[in-house]
Amino acid sequence: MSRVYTSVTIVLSIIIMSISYLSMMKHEYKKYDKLISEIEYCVENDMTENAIEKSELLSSEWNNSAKKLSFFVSNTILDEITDSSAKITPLIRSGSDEIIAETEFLKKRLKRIYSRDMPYIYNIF
Amino acid sequence: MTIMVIRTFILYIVVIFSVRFMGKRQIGQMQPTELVITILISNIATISLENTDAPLTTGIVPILFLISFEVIMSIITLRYQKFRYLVSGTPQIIIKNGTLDQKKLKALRMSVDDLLESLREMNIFDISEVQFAIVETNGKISAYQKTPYQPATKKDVTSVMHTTDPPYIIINDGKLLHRSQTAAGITTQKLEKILKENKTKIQDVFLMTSDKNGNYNIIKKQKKG
Repeated sequence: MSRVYTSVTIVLSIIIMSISYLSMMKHEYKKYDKLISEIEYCVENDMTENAIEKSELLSSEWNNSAKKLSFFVSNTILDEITDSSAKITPLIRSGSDEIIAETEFLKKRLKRIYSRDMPYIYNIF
Repeated sequence: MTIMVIRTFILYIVVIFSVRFMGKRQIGQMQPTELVITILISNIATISLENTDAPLTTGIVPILFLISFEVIMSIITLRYQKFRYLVSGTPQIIIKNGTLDQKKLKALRMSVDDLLESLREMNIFDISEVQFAIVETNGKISAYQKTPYQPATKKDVTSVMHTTDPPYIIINDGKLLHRSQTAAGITTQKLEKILKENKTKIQDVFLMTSDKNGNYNIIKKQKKG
């Protein structure tokens, strides 16, 4: 009978872990989406100092999040976001037009990580 | 490379734990669900080993989930007979009173050669000798011979019957197995006496077996060189 209790415990732990992961991912996604939108706003309104500050925050915060997410998400996708977030500050400093394209790319990537683990029918099949 | 070695080690532990957790059945004795789970585990483990880009949890979590699910399912099948029949099927009688049920054999997609081969493995060379032959849920064939063809047992030839346990291993490669010593009812004094009679010591004994009646057998270690 101990095997059954262990099995039930494992199944429940996996379910709890999945739900926790989804909620963590949702929180991370919203956090970074907001931060990226703020960077875009600062760039569009010529608030370069603010934009640089936020982009540096984004880069350092993302490094911590990537470590946590690496337990569940493929390294390739995480590396893509890390590389992209590292590009933002230099692009703001150089005043390049590519900055909005890069931030949109980041948003899309983050959304992809978040949405592909949601239990939607199209994700299952 | 280091990561791969560590991942392999972790997966090895997880797979060994999983197989042990599933129970002690051998491949030939597996029920359909157990066979499916075993194949799935080996595939999942392989993918996780090959693809170091994917997190290890994507391999470990499905393995643990499958094993746990299998244990829970086995309990459900144990409690509910109908569910058990649905998952594992039912044993099928293919020979009854020496007569082969050809329809059943066809339905099971089993050839006569397969059947005869299985019977030969049980030392049965003639279908007419078989009272019952059953295809078990794990695919094995069990046969019950007609009384005249059944081998004689000790019960048939003698009225004196003593049930005895097989001999216990008392000393294995110079090491005394206390549990077997107690089970065989050999006291330490008695063991010392036996060893003295055989002019040997525990560490010089390769194998010593003994049954409950005190019949023992000692194989001494071969001397080096």
